Amino acid sequence: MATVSSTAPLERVPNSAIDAVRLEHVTKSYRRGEHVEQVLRGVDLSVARGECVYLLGPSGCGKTTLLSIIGCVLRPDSGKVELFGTEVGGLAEAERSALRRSTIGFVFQRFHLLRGLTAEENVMLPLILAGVSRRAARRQARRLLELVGLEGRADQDPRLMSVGQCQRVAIARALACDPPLLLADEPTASLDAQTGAKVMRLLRELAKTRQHTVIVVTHDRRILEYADRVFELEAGRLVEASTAA
Amino acid sequence: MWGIATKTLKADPWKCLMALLGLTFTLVLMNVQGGLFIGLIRKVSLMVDYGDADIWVGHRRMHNVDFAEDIPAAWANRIRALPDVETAAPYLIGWSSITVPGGGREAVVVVGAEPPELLGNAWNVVRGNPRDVLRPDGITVDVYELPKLGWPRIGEVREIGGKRARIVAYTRGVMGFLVAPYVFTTFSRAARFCRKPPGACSYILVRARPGADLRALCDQIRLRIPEADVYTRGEYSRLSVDFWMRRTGLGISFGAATLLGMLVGLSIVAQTMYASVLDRMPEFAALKAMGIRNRDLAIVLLAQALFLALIACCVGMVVVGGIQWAFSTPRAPIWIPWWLSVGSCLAVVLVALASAIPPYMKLRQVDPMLALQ
Repeated sequence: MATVSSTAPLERVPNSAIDAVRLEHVTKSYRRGEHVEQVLRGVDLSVARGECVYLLGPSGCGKTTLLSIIGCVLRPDSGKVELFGTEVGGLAEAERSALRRSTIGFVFQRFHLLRGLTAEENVMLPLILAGVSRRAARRQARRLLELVGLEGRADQDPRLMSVGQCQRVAIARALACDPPLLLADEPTASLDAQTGAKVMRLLRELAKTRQHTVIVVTHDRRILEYADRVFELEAGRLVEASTAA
Repeated sequence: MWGIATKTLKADPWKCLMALLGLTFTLVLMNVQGGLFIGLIRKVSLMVDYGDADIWVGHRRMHNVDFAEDIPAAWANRIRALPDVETAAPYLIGWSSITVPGGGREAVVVVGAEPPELLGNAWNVVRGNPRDVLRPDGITVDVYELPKLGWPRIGEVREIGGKRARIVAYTRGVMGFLVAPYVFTTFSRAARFCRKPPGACSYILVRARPGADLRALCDQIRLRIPEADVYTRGEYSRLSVDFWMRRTGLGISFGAATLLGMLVGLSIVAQTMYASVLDRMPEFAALKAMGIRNRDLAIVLLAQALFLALIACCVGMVVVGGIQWAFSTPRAPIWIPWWLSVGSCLAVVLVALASAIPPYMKLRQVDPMLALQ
């Protein structure tokens, strides 16, 4: 069984030629009463480091399921999932948790920022959980908020911010521990077209400048121009749709 | 982690307030119930605790200071002969009745102390002098018992057991566990009031010489008077308390009420914290997706519980102080020793920490997928 270090996951992948994400014949089905619904029917996917990939498809087609499997939140029924060369299928729950903490940054559709905490404290949270000192975490949070264009709003309650600003805080939080893999679940679903485009431009810039691998699940075709590659999930299989940028 | 815990807690001010109310209620109930119980139970052994005697000698199987059997007063002479004894005097606690204006009578507990030491005489005298009982027909009564006695004034004459008695002094707060008021006087006068046979008394009160070993002295007295029971002040005080506790179930009654208060507090706080966790389920799911450890979740919840408990202890003790100031009377004293306050605060902390268990169990089961749905 592979083991995962909670502090330095990328030390295990010195070879930059290794794919950030590699899926082989991944299947997943859900039982709904008597009926078994096959959501993923042998999905294959390779995403290189620093690549920005969009997964497209209508609601309920299994995009979020696929993202959850890549994010080690859900286990596939069968198939192989590798993150930076490490097979994650055999990892215990605690190891998958540690891998998520150190390697994956999540941007959620509904942000899920903690009520009661300021923007800065929300960004500090993953750092504090990772054992970073409060002072260093604060410094890093300020830097990230500046990066996403929220300088001067560090002490603001996200409940008083616009949805676009909240999504920026969520992106800053996802970047807090400098994870090599960013997973975004419908990041523009709550945003208007203009704000959505701004957020996706920001995500792409961050991916390119900081060499993050970004996988975005969306059904918003207006933002496809920010992807390196676009895949469409059709009948449980992934089909490369186009190369956008 | 402490900052995250308290800030997320304060983000739900109403739930935070509800939990605080639950814990504060628990603390107040424990202190007031406990204080009432201790105040009441202290009255059981009041005569022993304040009687100024080091050793109490009484009849075989003596168990309660207010219900004494007669013993020979002459035992005092045998005890006085012991080298470690400074004073040994007969003491009387008996029942009689006092006349009240309008022709009625009121039952009283007559306490008689032997001159010249007057060992076991009234204390906390607020009008007159404790030794005024040496004046002809002199008796001392408590100011809080005056309504029962028909508001007798100093110098007023009454009859106790058909004998003339004159009120010469008032005590304040010398009230026993029983409903009958205490009347202090001299030993011989008390014997007349209670129609005791000559040479009979209830106890021999002994004051030891300074530095004497009281337990050894008790053994010496037992050797001299094998038919007597002999106890140090502390022993007889505990024995009197045990008597009432066992015979009346007083401890069970107060203990049950206190336990109920704790359970009510526990359920309020646990329910509030649980509801708060349910409200924040997607946030916690997101945290789990981000890889938060169950240990960290436990720390957050425990920190929240501890924070609530500390606030509740501070607020609760102020409330308890107010209740004690407003409602504690000599008739129903609320006596709160330091160990009760400290103990109740610790109990509240435990209640709060225990309240964090159900929400923690819920959080352990939260599926991180919830954040992605």
